[in-house]
Amino acid sequence: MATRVGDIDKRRPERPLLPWIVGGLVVVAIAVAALAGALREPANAAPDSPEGVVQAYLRAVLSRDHAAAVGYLSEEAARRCPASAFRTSWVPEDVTADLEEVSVNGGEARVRVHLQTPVAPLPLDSQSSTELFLLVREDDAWRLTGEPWPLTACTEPS
Amino acid sequence: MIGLLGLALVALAVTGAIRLGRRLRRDVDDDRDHSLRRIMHVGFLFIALVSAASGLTRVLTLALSPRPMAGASAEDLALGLSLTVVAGPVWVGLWLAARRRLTADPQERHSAAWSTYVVGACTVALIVAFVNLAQVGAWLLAIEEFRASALAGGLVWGATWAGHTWLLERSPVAPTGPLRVLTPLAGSAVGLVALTVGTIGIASYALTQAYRALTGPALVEAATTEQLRQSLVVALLATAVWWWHWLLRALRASRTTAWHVYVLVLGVLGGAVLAVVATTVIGQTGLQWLIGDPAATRAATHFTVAPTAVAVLLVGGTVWWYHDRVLRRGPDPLTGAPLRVYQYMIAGVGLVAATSGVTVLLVAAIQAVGPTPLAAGDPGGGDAAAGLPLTAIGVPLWGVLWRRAQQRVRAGDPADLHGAPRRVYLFATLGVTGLTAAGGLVAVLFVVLRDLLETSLDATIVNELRVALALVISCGAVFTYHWTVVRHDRAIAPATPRPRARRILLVCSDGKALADDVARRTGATVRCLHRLDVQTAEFDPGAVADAILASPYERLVVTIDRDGTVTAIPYDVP
Repeated sequence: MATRVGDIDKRRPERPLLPWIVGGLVVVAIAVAALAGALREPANAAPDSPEGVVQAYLRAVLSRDHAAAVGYLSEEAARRCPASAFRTSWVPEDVTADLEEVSVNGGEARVRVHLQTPVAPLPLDSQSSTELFLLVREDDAWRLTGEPWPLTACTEPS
Repeated sequence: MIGLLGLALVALAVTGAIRLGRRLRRDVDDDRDHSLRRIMHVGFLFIALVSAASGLTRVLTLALSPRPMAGASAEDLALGLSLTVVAGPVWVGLWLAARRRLTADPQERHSAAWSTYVVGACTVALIVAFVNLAQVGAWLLAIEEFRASALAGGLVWGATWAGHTWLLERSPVAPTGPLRVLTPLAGSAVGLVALTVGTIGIASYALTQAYRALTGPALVEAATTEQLRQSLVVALLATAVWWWHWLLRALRASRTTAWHVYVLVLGVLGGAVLAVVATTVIGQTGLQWLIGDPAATRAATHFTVAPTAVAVLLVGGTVWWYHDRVLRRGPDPLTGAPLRVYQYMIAGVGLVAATSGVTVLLVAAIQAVGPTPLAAGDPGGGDAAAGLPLTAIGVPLWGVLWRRAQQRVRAGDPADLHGAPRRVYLFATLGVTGLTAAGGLVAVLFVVLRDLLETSLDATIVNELRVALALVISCGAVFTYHWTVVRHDRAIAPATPRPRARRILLVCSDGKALADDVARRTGATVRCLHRLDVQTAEFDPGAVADAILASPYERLVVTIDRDGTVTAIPYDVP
């Protein structure tokens, strides 16, 4: 039957399915990725390796466990940089540390780490820096020496 | 938080006052005393509402707080009780008075002042309730500690929003003025912005996790599930707000100017800017790795921003695509002025990206050919990495849409040639690029003259002036091109029909409805004056519109005599 002028067309407007299917698949993929990420194991470097010591030190610093952080310093560094030095150092809330390079030379090691912290509220903006951690072998374990991040100016105790 | 809220309130009050002022200026037939009385009334009503709600929030905060009352709490309680006890009854009294007038006179319900109050109250209450409820959600998901003030604020302002929404939609004294349509649009804007932020957070988390699963975990990772939970809270709340205001109400509302402003500016422009910025970041990161100065030595570390950029691209692109579809479908497909606004707006985004990209490339080129190398670590490759993607995105985006606009003008489309979208695009471009180029030129001349006078002019000046020189060249070129376009537009203008009448002063015995009808038919701004000495019989508004459209002048005084004779008198402002 021909449609007369003035008849109300009660058919639903055509809706192409493809964009909705693609959108749905993207949502599912994001959900799967989020789930997989949540179940992912965190990196656990060997605790007796230079990068393992840097990892444990950074975790202590970021969780504000200053006493534990001092425990990863060499005797000389710990004397100059007590827990109070950490309290006066600025540490961002959210830091992701990526291992760049590890080099061991006898009783000394150098661990280069890339630190990144997001700058709210812009999701694409972040502050990043590459920090070099120097380690020495003491009492059969690797210990951080110098003034490792976030310390900047430790002083000799009088 | 309080500062942000204060700013939001001030911004809203200023915007409301401006709209109210414009509306009232237009309604010259309204009794001025009535207008002033209405403004005072709703102004006090709004202040009393905010004060009473703030006081009640403080009182409820202490009632919900698990800690015993201390000195500061006693002060809070005293202030809260004072505000509630004084402002609460004041609000009730003003509300009862308003209801009496609104019930007695339907014109009161149509007033801009009453609509502005309800729109303002709904929007402020929604924003404050949203922020507080997001904090409550963060507590429920173990992100933040319990804050009684957030729960109290969410409850009080949520109830305020619900009450005023009922007032807007169901009450017998609901406003009937045209400004009432701003409520669903303002709510949609709050919902869309928050939904975009929340969705970017969720997608960024998911893609970052997938990236880490592929490239290996970081040595130390930020507390990322916190980001996911916070984003989930914001996205869930925002979905409810957006669904209520946009999907249930604004989407199917008539497509007014305000509706188009919301969809074009927030939906299309906002989504397009997000997509362009994200694509630029992806391209820049890739080029930095290939030809620039990478942020890290390992590729996996250097590209850590990519998942977030892809998330922004996905969400921004979806926002753009969705609002594009909304504009093109439905009862009023995208044509006429809204289509032109759309195209000039996106062309503007492309032009900004292209000009920025070319400027950055010029800086890199000047650095490369400069007589002495720059400071260590940045030989110019980094700049090229930023400039290339900007140019690659901006040039085609601008080129395609600008070509379409030029084709329409060449085809003799007067609506495009004389339309506000083209004029705004052209003069905004001329203004911004002209000022920037002039500023760059001043900097170049200053440095050259300074070095000349100090007899220290040498080739190293090129490095010092690289940014200013690049700006002068790029913005100067854009300015020159658009200036030729303006001149060409002016040259062909006489060949096209003259613009229609724009400002009408309508003088007749009962003009409000007629003015609206004539404004709709002619597209002109119609002000109405009531003529007291003549009672005109009913007449055809189409005849008035025809008389206006037949006139070649932009400004007209239109009178309607006793016998219905329409006279259109052109005028100008001395």
